[in-house]
Amino acid sequence: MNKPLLTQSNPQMNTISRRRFLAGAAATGAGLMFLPRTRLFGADAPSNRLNVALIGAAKRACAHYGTLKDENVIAVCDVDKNHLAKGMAQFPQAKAYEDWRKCLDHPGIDAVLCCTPDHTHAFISNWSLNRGYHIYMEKPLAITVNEARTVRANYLGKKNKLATQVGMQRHAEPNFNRLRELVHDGAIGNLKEVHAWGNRKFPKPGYLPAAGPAPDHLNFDLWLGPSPEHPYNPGYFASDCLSWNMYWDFGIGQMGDMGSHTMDIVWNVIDADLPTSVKSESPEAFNPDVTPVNLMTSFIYPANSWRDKIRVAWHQGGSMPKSPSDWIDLNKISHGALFKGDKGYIVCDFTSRLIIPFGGNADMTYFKPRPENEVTSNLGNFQKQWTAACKNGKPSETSCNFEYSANMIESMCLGLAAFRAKEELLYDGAAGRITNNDAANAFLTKPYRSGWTMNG
Amino acid sequence: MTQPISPVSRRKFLAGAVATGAGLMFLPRTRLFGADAPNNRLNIAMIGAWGRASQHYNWLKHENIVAICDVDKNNLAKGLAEFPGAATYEDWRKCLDHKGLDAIICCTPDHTHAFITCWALNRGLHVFMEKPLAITVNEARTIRKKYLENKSKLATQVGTFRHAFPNVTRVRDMIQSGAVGNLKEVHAWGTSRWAVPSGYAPADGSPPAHLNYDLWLGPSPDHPYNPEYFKYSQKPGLGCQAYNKYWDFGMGYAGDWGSHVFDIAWNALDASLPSKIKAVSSEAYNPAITPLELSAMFTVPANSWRDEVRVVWHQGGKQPSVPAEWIDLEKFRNGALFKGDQGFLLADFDNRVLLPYGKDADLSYFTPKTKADATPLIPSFFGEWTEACKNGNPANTSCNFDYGSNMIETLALGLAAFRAGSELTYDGSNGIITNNDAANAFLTKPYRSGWVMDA
Repeated sequence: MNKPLLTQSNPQMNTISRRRFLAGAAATGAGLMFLPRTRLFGADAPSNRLNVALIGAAKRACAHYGTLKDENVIAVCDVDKNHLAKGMAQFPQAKAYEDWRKCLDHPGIDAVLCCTPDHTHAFISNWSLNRGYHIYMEKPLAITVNEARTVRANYLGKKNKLATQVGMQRHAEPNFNRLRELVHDGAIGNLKEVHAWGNRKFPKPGYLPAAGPAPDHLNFDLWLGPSPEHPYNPGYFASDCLSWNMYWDFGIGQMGDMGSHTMDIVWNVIDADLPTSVKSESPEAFNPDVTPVNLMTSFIYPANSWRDKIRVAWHQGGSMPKSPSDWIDLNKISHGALFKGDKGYIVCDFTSRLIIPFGGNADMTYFKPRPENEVTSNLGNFQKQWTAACKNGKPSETSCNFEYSANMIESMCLGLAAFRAKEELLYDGAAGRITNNDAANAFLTKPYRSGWTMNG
Repeated sequence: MTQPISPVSRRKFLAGAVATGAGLMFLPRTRLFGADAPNNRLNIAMIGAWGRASQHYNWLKHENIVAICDVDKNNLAKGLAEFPGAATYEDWRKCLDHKGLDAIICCTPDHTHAFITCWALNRGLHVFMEKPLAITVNEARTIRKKYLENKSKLATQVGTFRHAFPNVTRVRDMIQSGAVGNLKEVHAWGTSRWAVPSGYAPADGSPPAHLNYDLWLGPSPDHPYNPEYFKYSQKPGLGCQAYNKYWDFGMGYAGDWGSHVFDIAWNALDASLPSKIKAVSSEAYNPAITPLELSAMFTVPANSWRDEVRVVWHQGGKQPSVPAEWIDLEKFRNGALFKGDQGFLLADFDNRVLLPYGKDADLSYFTPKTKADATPLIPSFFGEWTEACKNGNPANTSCNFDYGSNMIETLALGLAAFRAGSELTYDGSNGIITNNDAANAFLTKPYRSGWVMDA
């Protein structure tokens, strides 16, 4: 399914970008590497800037304008003319596009930064990777197991060339490093179980009914993109992603929304890839339109080099783990995680953490905090980590590259599949198959509109 | 005033022999006969026969209770039923003259604790004293002096038994191995509140026949009988809560739960006495009743392993704040908070929570104890004392009267500062407030004539 890096069917792609040429030269010619280009010209010297296509021009994209101003934004794309105008006001030299498929054909692109609705993420990721572009993709990276696997496969084929990052920017909080260090250095003994949760609740009865034509500034058909057809309703555009991401055709609800951030706290610690079994519980019946609000999904991850097999649970919309202490009110932590070891607990949110030694033997003699010179350095600016990786010849050295992130979001999507299957699913991660319930394999993908190809 | 005690008890004789004759030590007696073999038992006087004392019966049955004393005949009968054959006394002063005593355990009201302690130490008896050890600065200092003179001979323990909970030891180890960085501030608190009476209870009838109220008052200035003071007397361990809020009978919450909770902090600090004391309360001084709501702040000088620290005791509802809104401090009715330059450790008797705080709080500065150097847990708080009475290392109790008197002197200074209404500067070696002469009057209290504390 993968297309060649430069496709002959697309003449514009023959214009190899300057950045890509130089990166290739650096990768192949050791003689050129004695002075990294970033040193030679300065990281944002004109000759060292990335040519970026910004897809999704306003709203979430506004958070990236600052980073992008150190690069060359050469193309801006949005299905909403008002948003496009905002983006163009920031990057007046760029060429404007309405359809991301056309935008990706713009000559000379090095990299894509994408802030479109969730149901287009896997599509734009694959198309970009297939065209040899570095890509920063807003979360969630995908909304089905199959999408996540396709993105991962494309990425792994190019990880030595293309820098990727999923927009889980909270990953740059030093607390993420501290939590990893605590668990790895034995603060709670042997890790046994992990819980993460989010308390957002946005219940909806179903897709919105037809309500007038779309406004002139919005190309609703392109907004729908690969989604099966739904009539226009201004309710989808009332605020931000929370106006649509709970509908199966447009997203995966809180799993992909805050779940992408909160599960990242856990994912950064546990060095897991894919679960062997997945089970979900919810007080809600399956609604073919809307993803569940209240859900608890329990994953079993196999042992790895430093830990035993563990259970990881994701809770949302009212489901919560039990607090390990009467003093700690987990309900006051909107989005948090709980690590349970055989000697205690860690409770955390994005920026702070508590260690609770627990049990008769919890004397902390087993805890070996690393010395100061082995403490993990701060990540710094999350977006800059990606732009640096695009340029410095180490493209895979981003914290939330598409391998890390695809594994995480594939797990989350498996939780939704287990919700739909109503039973524990055994999963063969290498093959991407549910092995104990053939029918449930249908839940690993979703229908798309004809004419749209995910891995195009 | 020490009275000659004869005959020398068997236990005391043997302990002396062990201490002086190395040749006798090759087989410790506890090994030879078993810890509670008849010939290895302590001869104990139990002063205060029921109530709190009833909660000690089980372990006391491994020793010889040879005398029982209570001002209430009903209590005395209950104690005697448990330890038949013991001599009975109504007046502890007479009980302490019982022949052959090795040790006493005392569960009387708080206002008699310093008296009974001093009398017992003066008579060469090991002492297990219920908390609080004293109710004034002067009482605490008198006990300490007496104890330090005898510490190579007499085993002492204040009944702050939660000290033996593993968490209390582990809090100490965490603080001293740097879990919060450099220690800066410590808070301990108890939030319970009670209905505050306006003054001492008015005269209300005569005491029941089973109660010698005059002896119950003991060294206290005279107060008429009122059953109010005995309203919890049928609740073992809670009886004190009917009277310990009155200045003549106790020191309120500071001596009650404060003895337990402040101990979590005190055990980690290696402190002796504060150099400055300041108290804050919303209440005016009431000459009858100790304050309900109080925050007493102590400046505790630096020692070999830490800087000067600010230590605060809060009672009646006040609590420190923690920079984590998920911690529900209101559920910590009794707790301690250690604040360092790298974070916080929150603890009660059974639990602890470490909150690394600040951008450098990566715990690289924390060197947890190894198995080899972790402080050993105390297997039994009561056994620690009986063992110390017998094994020739009498000072080896965790709440001996040096540790215990420093702690209660500090809390009593908090009440003095409350009465003074200003910050006090304290010379701990001389026991004198140096910046407010008049406040030195708050370091002691009046007693009834005929009662001598250090006799």
